[in-house]
Amino acid sequence: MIMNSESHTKLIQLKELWKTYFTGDIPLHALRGINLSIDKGEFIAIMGVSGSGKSTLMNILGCLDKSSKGQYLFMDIDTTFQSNMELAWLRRKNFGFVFQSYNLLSRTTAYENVELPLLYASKYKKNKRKEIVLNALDKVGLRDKIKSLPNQLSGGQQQRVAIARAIINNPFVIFADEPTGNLDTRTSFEIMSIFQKLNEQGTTIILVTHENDIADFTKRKIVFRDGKIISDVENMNQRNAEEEYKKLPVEEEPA
Amino acid sequence: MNFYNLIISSFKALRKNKFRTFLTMLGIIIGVASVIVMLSIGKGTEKDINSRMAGLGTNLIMISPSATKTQGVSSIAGSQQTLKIKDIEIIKKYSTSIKAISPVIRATEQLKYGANNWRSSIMGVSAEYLSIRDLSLVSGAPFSDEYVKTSAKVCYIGKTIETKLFTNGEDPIGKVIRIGSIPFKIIGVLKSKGQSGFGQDQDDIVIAPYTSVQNRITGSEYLQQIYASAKSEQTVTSAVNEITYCLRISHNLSKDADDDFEINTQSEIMETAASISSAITLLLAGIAAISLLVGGIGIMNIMFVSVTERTKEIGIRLAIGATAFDVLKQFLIEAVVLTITAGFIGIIVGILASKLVASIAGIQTIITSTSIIVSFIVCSLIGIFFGWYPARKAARLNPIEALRYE
Repeated sequence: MIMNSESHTKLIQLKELWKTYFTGDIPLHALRGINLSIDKGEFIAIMGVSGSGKSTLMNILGCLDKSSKGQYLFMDIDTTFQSNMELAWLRRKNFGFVFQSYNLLSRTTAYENVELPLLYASKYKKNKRKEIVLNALDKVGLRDKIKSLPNQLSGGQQQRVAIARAIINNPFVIFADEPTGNLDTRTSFEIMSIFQKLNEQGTTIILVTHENDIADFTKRKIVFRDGKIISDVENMNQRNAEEEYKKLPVEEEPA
Repeated sequence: MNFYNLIISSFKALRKNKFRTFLTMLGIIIGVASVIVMLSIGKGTEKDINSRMAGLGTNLIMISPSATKTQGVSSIAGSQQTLKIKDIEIIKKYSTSIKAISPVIRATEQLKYGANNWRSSIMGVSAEYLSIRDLSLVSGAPFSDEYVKTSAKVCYIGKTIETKLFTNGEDPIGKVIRIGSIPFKIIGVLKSKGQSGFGQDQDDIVIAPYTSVQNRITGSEYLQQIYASAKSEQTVTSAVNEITYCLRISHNLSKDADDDFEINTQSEIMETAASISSAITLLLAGIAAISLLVGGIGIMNIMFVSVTERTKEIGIRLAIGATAFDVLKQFLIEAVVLTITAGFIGIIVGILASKLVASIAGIQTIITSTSIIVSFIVCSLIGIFFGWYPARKAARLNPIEALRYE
């Protein structure tokens, strides 16, 4: 998926994108003609109430779902007519996913969870894989937990394993669907500081949230309502998650 | 994901549900083990029958009169009386492929010794009969032509006769028993041959010179059968041709007349026995194969349960870069790993079980490498066949719906 594109090529372009579900008698329009373009290196918060279409948009952007109408160009590739196989290849090379409920494989160690995308996407030998996996776990500060199973880790630790898994193939974009939804403030800030660092290193991050505090750590806020974008503004005063984290009062350990 | 990693991850997945995996495999284990045991019993029986057949004698040729036809209806074979001593003399004179030849005259008579009596069959034969049938003596002297010439009242008895008549452990040699009302002196006891391939007691027999049986018991000049042995296995066919030629001349048969005798050779009988035993083997293996099929259906059932249960896992794998084909491969290989592992255990269980059958039931069992290789291949095929449909179901899952599945 190496592109011979100029630097000003848009990473993602949506043109009049519709998504309609035909579940009952009345067709449900989850997205109503979305136009959106996203550049490399952006850090975007997609906000909105439940049912506003933000998750649907995420699924389509992540090529987990297809639009009903309109165009989705990823690095100038029109994904509309790609086969499921081509979309799977596109996903494994370019995208990383982080979910609200972590979605780690149960009864599988942190190491194995992080290694999994490598097994699908690469032909690296065991030693090379180990080096990459440990490097990714280093970035999220969990090198000492490689042998732990998901149920032995806290929510924040599980989410950090999920982030390590998402970055293992050096994706262009990380899609994070309410990554802090199940976490307390301290841990949320920790996770956001990891995202900010990844973004500084050039990874595009698209994050769905309905918490304004979390959106404040991003660079651009897009608000959805009823399948349409109602506001799309640059966040002029992005907060620094690491600094905020340090400002939080240290919790007393119960004796 | 490469093949090695797929197998490793299959083993990991199967280990997560140890007890269920074991129960699923049990069907295949029992199926494979029973196929191996059944085939080994079948093979053992076949070999057993063959060795009993070989016990009939070496390169044996049996000549019987053919069935009589009364108004076109055939009667039982041997019911015609066409064979005479003259036939034997002609065969002896002209045949070059024959090593030994003997008439066989049968009679059934009551045997008496002291207070004991026993009904048995008497065979009148020539001195060559013992070598034709591979019979040997436990005690006593071999037959001489002199006895035949003089219609001597002498006989050999089989082990069964000895135990029935000489109940107090006397040595039967030299004793006189009555066959019907005629006294015969016992000059030898035959070495036990056990049951024949057809379940007859081959030791329940009295053998006497044919002249004695003809002149003193039956009073008929006709022979029931003629037994001959060829010089070697290779000369059996030419011996049969020579005998046919001699008998047709001896019986004055015109060119287009049917033979009034039948010739059977040992190899023909062995072929028949072999076809019977292979039919039995096939039947046993068929029954075992059905249990293997049932085991395979069990695998399919569990793979379906597993796909449903692991819907979320499939969704995660699809999201992080697995293609539908990767998922298909994963579940297919899991099914194959399951059946091959079960097959491997089944083979070991089958080998142990057939050893056990051999030692407990006293049946000979032979495990052939073919049965092991075939069960192994069948197991892999079962895995692919019954794993395919569940695996396809897994591969066709929609990633988003799979991720939402709880």
